[in-house]
Amino acid sequence: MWGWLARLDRVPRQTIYLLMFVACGLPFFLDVRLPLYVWPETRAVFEVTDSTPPNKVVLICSNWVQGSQGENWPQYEALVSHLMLRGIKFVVIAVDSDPLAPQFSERINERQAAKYGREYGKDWVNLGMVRGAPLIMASIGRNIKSVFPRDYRGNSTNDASKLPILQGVTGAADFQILWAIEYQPSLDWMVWLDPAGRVPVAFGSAGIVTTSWYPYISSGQMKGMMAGIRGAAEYESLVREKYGSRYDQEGLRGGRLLVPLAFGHLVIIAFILLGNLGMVAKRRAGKGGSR
Amino acid sequence: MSWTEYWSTSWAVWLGAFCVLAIYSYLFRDNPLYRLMMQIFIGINVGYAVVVQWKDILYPLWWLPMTDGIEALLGRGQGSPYGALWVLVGCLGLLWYFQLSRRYLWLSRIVIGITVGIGAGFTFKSLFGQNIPQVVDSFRPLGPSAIAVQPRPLFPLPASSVPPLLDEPLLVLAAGRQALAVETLEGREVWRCPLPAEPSARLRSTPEGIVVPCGDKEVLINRDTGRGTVRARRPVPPTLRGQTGLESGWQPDGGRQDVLVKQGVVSPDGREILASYRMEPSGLAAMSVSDVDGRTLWPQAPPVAGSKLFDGSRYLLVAGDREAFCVDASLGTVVSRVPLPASPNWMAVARMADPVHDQATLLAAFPSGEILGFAAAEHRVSRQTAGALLWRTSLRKPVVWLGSSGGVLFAVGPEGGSALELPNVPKALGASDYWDNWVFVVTLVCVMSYFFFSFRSEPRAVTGVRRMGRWLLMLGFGAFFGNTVMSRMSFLLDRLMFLVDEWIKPFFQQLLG
Repeated sequence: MWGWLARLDRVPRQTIYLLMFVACGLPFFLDVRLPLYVWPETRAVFEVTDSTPPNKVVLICSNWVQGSQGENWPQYEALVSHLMLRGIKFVVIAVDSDPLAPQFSERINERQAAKYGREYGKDWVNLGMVRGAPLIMASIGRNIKSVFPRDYRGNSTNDASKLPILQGVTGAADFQILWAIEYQPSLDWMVWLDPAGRVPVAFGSAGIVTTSWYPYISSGQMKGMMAGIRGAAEYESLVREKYGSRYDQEGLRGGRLLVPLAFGHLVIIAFILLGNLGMVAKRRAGKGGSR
Repeated sequence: MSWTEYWSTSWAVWLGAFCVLAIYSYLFRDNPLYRLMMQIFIGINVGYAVVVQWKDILYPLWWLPMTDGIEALLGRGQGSPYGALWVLVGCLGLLWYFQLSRRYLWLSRIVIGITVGIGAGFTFKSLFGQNIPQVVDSFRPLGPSAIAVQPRPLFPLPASSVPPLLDEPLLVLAAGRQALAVETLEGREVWRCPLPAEPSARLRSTPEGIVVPCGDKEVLINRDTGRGTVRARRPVPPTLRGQTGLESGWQPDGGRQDVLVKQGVVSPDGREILASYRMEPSGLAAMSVSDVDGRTLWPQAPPVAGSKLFDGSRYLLVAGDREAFCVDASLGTVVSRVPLPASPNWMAVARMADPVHDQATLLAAFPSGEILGFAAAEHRVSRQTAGALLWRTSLRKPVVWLGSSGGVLFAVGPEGGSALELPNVPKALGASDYWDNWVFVVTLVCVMSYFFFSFRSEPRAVTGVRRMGRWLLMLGFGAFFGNTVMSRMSFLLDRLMFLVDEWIKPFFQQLLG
């Protein structure tokens, strides 16, 4: 028996990849739902964002492009769909990112705006990209319009007729929360945007780096985060929980990708167990390897 | 949809699907198709990025301001001539290319030096800003504290026989035959104004100045100079039952002197609403809250009883002899209920200056001079429950009025008063928090031991701690590995979603009609 089990130590990688593809692809054709426990770090940032008063805006630094869209797209869309649903005004910027970042965010903004009947310049504005962090972060905190004289579409940020959203928005005091969404957001936001620490900072980042943020959440330097796809799914579920059927989830990715992700995790856990079993069996069968 | 229409819209999806599958073919084995696709992808990406870099970054942010500036310098344009200074940025940037020349390599070092110097300066500040709070947070309680927080006395305040007026940045008090203003930052006297008689009612703020009622006369005092003008007393807003303050917008409702109205109360969902409350001998008996269209949002009255009504900005405070209620003015719900030792002279709600500890504190002052601070509502940062007693202090002289601004509490009575700094309320820690802190400390000690005591001979205790440190490190790496798997799989899922939703499903729908 040990000899047969020892073969598990040499499963071809093609088999593993094929099973992974099947496990992850199957849920796209099936209606499978999984219970979701919302982590406190997601709930905290949802509550701060949801309680944005009419005289403040949410500032989003959207630095993601195709390289991390697997996780950042669901996060960004979950956030923007919430803001559009509630009519919370938001300003999108990109700092030291790939120059394509504003295109990616704007495509999602327009799709969600069409769903909820929101208007560019009144409900949201995309100011495009700027370089020069971390100094530019401090300048954004002092006077965002001095950093972005024009928006991504070429309108002057001082033009009240085209961008009424920005009239009354100057700096950090007018931001309800800063969301930095990218593969690995910069910790400099906590230090430079508002040295007094009045603007809560939230990250939407790749799952691989989420463990790095916990010390900053614990110390209060960060308000919370969306951790990978799971964070996006949690955020969507919080919005659904509060706003029910008014929340149109068509096309949102967080909740949809959660089930394939869980299936994929199951395959990986299964192969870790099988691989270890194979290693033990190989040793028992005396077919090489050191004790 | 005909096949012609299908192909006219779906060819790009098929091309994308082919590229995705070609790249994933590497998982089977390395092959020429994968290599071809990889090179094409990199080439297109770089080419596209170069165009976007110029179109979205260099052209609008460097070229346009520079050419506008040069045009202005030559007297031909409307822009700022200082824009021409962007030429220097271009020149400095070009110095980098002297890296390619052995003879003029030193020129590139100028710009490298500038860049590294600036970067080092920023990094220095960033590291301190990021890590000092981390160091502070690492000092965690391992057991309950025996020392309670207390408000810290800042400076004394003069006496006031009537409730004073907090008119930022001044606090105006009146006692005897004079009114005086102190600034709220350090308590320094700003001006002093004589009164024709002793003040008889609370001070009011009007657009013309500050009004001090003195019997059948009143004095209108200029806020800036402190100069007073005596005039006949004009009709004033009636004093309601209790000690309701009118600073934050609550007004008696027209002819009804027992109804308080405030317009523009912000409800939790961001709507501005009209709130109306009536005070009766039995307490806060009837009220309504309606939106701008006049629709009643909640007609029922909260079950509170009391004899005094106080203004708590977005809260209404109803006090009886032995308990008080904090009512959310926008919802009509009782937020907290606190026990009192006696009927309070005054109640108010204070907020902290520090947004991290922005605890709404319910303040109650008593004839004995004692002041109590309660959590007005549940506070998520400190995790204090609504109505929890946060601190208590005593001025040892009667207090008739409380007010607060920017985390400072002003307590005033006929024998004088004091300004107190409100304490940051510490977290309400439970058993699980102390357990977490112990895990934190033990992990820290074990892991540090692992790195510091890796010597050939060491005591047995250190060996055990070191070994545990290694295990704890492995636990940490395991969590890190789990997140890594989630990230990598997310990228796969993104592409699978594209293949299924945009390629396979539409194709089969077209095929099967």
